[in-house]
Amino acid sequence: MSTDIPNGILALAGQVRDARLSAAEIVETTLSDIEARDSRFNCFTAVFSDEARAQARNLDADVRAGRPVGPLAGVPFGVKNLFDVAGQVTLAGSKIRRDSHPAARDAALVARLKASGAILVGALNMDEFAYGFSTENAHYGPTRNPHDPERIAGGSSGGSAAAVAAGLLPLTLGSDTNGSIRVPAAMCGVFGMKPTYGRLSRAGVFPFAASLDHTGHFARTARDLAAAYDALQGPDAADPACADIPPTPSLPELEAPLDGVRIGVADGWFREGASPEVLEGLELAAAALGATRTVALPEVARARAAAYCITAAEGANLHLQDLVTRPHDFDPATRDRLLAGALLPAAVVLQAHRFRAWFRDEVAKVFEDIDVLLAPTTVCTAPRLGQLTFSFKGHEVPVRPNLGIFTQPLSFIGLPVVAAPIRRAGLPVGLQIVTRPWAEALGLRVAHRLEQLGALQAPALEAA
Amino acid sequence: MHPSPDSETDEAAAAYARAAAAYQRLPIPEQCWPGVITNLLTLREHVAMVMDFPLGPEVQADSVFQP
Repeated sequence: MSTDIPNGILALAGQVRDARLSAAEIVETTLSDIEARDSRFNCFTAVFSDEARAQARNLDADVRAGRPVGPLAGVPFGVKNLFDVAGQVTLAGSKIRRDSHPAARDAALVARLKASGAILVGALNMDEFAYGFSTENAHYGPTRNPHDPERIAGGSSGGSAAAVAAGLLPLTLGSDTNGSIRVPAAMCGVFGMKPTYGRLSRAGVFPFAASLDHTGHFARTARDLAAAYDALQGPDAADPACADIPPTPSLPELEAPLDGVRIGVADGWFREGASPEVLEGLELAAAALGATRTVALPEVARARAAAYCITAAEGANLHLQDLVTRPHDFDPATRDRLLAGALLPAAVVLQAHRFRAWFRDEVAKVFEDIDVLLAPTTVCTAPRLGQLTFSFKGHEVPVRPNLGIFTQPLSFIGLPVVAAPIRRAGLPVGLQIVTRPWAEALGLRVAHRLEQLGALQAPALEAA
Repeated sequence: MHPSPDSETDEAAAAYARAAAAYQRLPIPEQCWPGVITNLLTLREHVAMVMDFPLGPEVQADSVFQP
C-alpha cells in the first residue's frame, strides 16, 4: 500500500503538526494511490482533488505559521455519497439525484472532521438510496471486495468500507439504518462504528428511513475509530434526533482495564443459521475475554421484522413522488422494494413503532445483568458479485435484503455497536460489540483490548 | 422471509396490492408488478410477525425514538 499509516491516524496527524510531514504530501500520495488502484475496487464516485489540495495547502500554512491545527490534521477521509459536500451534488447512490442542486454546505460530520484538520478527498459508492446490503449499484457499478474482487463489499456503505480495507483511505464516513456500516465492515474486514441512535448528527445526510437512520464511520483500528468518534461527537439542533448531550470522549478510556465488565455472548437468533466460520469468530473473541455467559435477547426475529416494515414504509414515503413521476430512473430492484413498501397498511407501521418501545425496554432489562454483548455481524462471509441468494436455516434467502439479519434487531432500538474484524485467515468475519445506550466508549475499550489479545485485526491486503 | 409458493395466497396478495395502489392513486407501471408483488410477499411474512404480537395500550411509540 502506498498510503501506509502503520501507527494510526493520530500519529500521522502528529507528524503533520510537528511539520515532519506535510498535508500536501499526504494528499498527493493519497490521490496517486486512488488513481492507480481504485479501478480494481470502484470505491469512489468522485475525487475532490482540487479541494483536497487547497485544504492541505491551508493546513500546511497554519503549521508553518504556528497556528493550532486539529487532532486529525492532515488525515485524508472520504464520505459515502449521501453526505452533503459543499458545491457537490449529493447522489445518494442514485441517478435521480444527478439533477439536484449542489449542496450549499458540508454535512455536519464532514464539517466536524474538517474542523479537526482531516482532509476530504472523495465521495464513495453505495447502494441506491442506501436500500441494500451489497453495493451492487445499477448506476455506478459494484464496489468489489478488496480481499476478493469477485465478491461484494457489503452495503450499503460498501465504498466506505472497501476504501479503508484497500488502504486507499484510513477513515471514511457511512450511514447505518439496518446494518449498512456493520455489514460492509464485516465483509471487508475493517472496524466500523454505529453509535447510539441520536449520538451523531445526521444533518446534511440524505435520509433513508429517518426514524432508524444513524451515521458513523470506518477505520483500521479501534484507536483510529475512537479518535474519529471523539471528533464527530456533539449535539446538533439541525438534526431533530441528535441528543442534546455533551460528548463522551472515548480515547482517554481506551486503555482502561476491563476488570468487572460483564460480557455476554449472544445466543439464540444470533447463532441459528450462522456459518461455522462466523461461529468460530464469535467463540474466538469470547474465549479471549474469558466470556462464558450466553445471553438470548427476547423476540429478536420480531424486532427484525418490525425494522423491516418501518424501513419499507418510510423509505417508500420518502421517494413517493419520484416513484410516481420517474419510476424507470430507479434501480429496478430498489424501485420494486420501495413500491411494495408504499402499499403497507398504516396499522403495521404504527404497531412496529410500538413494538420498538416494548423491545427496547425488554433489552434494557437484559443489559441490567451485562455490560457488553458479543454477537456475530453477518450470517456468512461475503457472497459473490451477482449471487442472488445465500443459505439461512436451510432455506435460500435473497442476498440483498437479508445480510442484515444479525444487525437489524440492534439498530432497531438504537444500541451502539462497534463492528470489528476477527483475526483469521481467509475471507473476513465480523463481530458486533454491543453496549447499552450511550456506552460507546466501553465498546471501543473492548475492541481495543481484543486487538491487544490478538483476536481482532483488520487483515492486510494481499499484494494485488 | 420465505415467500409462499401457494398460488392462491399469491393471488390474494396481488389483488390487495392492486387495490391498495388504486386506493391511494399510486400508479405502478405494469412491468413493475411482478417485482412489487414478490417484495410484498416478503413483507407479508414480516407483517404477520409484527401484527401477531399483542401490545397493551400502555406501550406507546416515541415521537422521536429515545434509545
